[in-house]
Amino acid sequence: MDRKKIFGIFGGFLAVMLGFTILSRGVSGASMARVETVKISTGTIDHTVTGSGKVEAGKEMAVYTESGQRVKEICVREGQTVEEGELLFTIDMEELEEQILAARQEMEKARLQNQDAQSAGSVEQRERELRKNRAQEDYSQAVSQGDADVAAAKAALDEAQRALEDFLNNPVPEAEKDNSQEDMEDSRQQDGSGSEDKEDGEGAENPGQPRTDEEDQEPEPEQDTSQWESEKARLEQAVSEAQAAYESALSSRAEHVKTAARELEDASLQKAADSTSKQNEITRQQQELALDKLLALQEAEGKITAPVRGMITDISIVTGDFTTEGTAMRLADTSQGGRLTVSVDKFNEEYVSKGSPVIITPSGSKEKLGGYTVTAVTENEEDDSLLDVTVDLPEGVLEAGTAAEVEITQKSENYSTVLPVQALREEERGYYVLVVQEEQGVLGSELVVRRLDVKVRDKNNVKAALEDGVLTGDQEVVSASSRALEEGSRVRKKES
Amino acid sequence: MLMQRNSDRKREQRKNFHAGQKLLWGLLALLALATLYPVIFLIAGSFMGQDELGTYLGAVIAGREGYADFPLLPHYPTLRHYVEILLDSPEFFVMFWNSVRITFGVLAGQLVVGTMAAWGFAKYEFPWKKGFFLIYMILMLMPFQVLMLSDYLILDKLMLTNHLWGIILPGIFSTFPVFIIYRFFTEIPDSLLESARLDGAREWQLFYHIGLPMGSSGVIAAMVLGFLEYWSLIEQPLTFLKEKSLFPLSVFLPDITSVRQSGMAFAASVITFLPALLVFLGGQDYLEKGIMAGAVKE
Repeated sequence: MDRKKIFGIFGGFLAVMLGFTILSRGVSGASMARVETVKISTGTIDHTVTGSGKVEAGKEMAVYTESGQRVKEICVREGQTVEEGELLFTIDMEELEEQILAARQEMEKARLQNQDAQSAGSVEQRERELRKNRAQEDYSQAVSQGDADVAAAKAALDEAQRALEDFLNNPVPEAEKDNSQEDMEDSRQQDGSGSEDKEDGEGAENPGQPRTDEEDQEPEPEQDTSQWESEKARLEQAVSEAQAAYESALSSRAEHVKTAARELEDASLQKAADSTSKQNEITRQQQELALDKLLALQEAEGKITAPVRGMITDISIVTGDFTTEGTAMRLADTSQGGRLTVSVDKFNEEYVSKGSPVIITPSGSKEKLGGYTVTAVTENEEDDSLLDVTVDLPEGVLEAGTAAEVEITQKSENYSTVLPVQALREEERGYYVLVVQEEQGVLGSELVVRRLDVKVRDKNNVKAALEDGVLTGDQEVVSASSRALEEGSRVRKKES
Repeated sequence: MLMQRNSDRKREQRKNFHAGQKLLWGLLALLALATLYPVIFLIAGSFMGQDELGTYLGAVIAGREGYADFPLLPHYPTLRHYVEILLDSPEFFVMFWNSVRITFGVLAGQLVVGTMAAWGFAKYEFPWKKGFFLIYMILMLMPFQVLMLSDYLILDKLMLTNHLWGIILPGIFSTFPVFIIYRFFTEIPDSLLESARLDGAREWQLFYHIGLPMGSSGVIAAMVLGFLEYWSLIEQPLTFLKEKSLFPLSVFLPDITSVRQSGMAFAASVITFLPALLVFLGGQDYLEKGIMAGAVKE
């Protein structure tokens, strides 16, 4: 091959390479990411949570009147704002007056009933006293009567016994006497009643027994003996009859006394507690109270007015119908200030707490209201991913129904390594930052990004605080880049 | 060189093609193909896509099982790697021009210093001439590793480390071109110089007007050999240069023989190969003469 041609080709090759050199520099420069950098600073990470909501009246008041009143006229409608003392509705006076009359009559009736009951009670009391006295008398009488009967029976018995003893002790044939004595002894033993008198007699007669045994062997004249025997039998009969009479007198006395004692007990029993009169008194007081209310209503000419300044939120009554036990109207009290409730996302939970300062911006106004604090934080009832933040507002700050934006700011401690959040990059394993370093490369001194893993202590949507020690104050951290960066990417700094 | 030798043999075989030599020819052709295969590899690989390269080279580069397989032609040829090298890698050009600077700096210096030294040895008598020439020969025979440390210490004293001149200056004063050119200058008849002197020519005129033109083939042979040597210089830059921005192309190649960039490495190799090929083609005849001059003793 021609040598000159070859050198020509060689020269051409070098020229082409020169062209590509320039071209590749251009391409590389154009494709190189332009980055903006920041340096770490100190600062706080303020967590600002915003939400919007509406101002509600601070509390709701019920407006009601006596039940059973006919509503004559309703002067307001729902949503209307009323001043304190403004007429809300009126009730029918005729109906009211009738009710007052009825109530009075009712009271009078009750009073009369009460009076009757009281007089009936006193009569009964007297009757009871009388009955008791009588029972007492009956008792005393039963006792004395019984005693007398018993004494009489006793006397009769003694008499019969004495007659029998006299008869036995008389000087009559021995045999008669012995037999009678023996018989008498037998009958006594058979009788078995433990009377003291009999025992005494038995004891006295015991020593005479052996003698009787001796005399039984002697013969007696038949006729005398039988006469004596019959007399003795008659006397013994009389004794046993007297004995029986005496015993029946004793038991009869005990029975009469017991009956009379029971009568007396019954009569002395306390009368059952009776609270009727007290109850009547209570009823009367209630009626009086109800009447007073009706009278008050009458005095107010049947007009029901707003107790406070506020907004009508609910009307339950209907013109022409009777009022019920329930609430007639509900009134949102605006005189005590309002309550602003806003919903915020639940992931802000840790940054919103009771007492956090808030800044309120009413919609349609540029003015910001500060100086208020969160009164309560509760979970939203409908959506559990939301939190309801409540701010109580004093009177006159915002009207009920006003929409407003709320900004809740929680200040953090002062961190020494704070970066804009754009400089912080995230991947599955954690956070990292890209730091621009000057390195000697093939192209000479170049700016290369290097990756540094960092730990985030706190961040909001503007700034992030990192653990100290990884970054120094001189290092330039990539905050923005014109294209995606990775470890080792060459970059150019954007001219600011 | 191998290519050249092969072509020579082919030419010879065409002239006297005996049947007995057929077998030998076939064997040699096979060996030639085996020798050329890496070059074919290189060119084919530079046109292959990333996926194709991955499939063929995976066993070697990515550590997959099996053996590397390499077809002669790419299935899905692409210029992607060339575009990457030529447009997306400014580093490549930095290194390319570093190589150009080193090579041409050395060659230019040798053209001045080496030719003069050779002329002096060839045509002048001075004391200790044979001794100096012996030292030249010994220095030429010494491999780089022997002199590496002493070179480094001297360059460091001269504050030439981490500088291209640290590569270029030792190259300029290399003894090899002197040795080659010396051979050619000695062939110039002394009588010719004498007559020129008689005609009033000065000594530098003798060198410039008679020596250089008559010994031009030797000078060119030394330059071609020098180009091939300094274009592929690898130990000196790695030893004496620290800044990457000074590295020549020969160092760029090992830098990118990784799994991902094998295609780019092929393309870069082809581009690096081109100037050497051109210089070889241009100085082929002189190269032979130069090698002969170095080999044949008078």
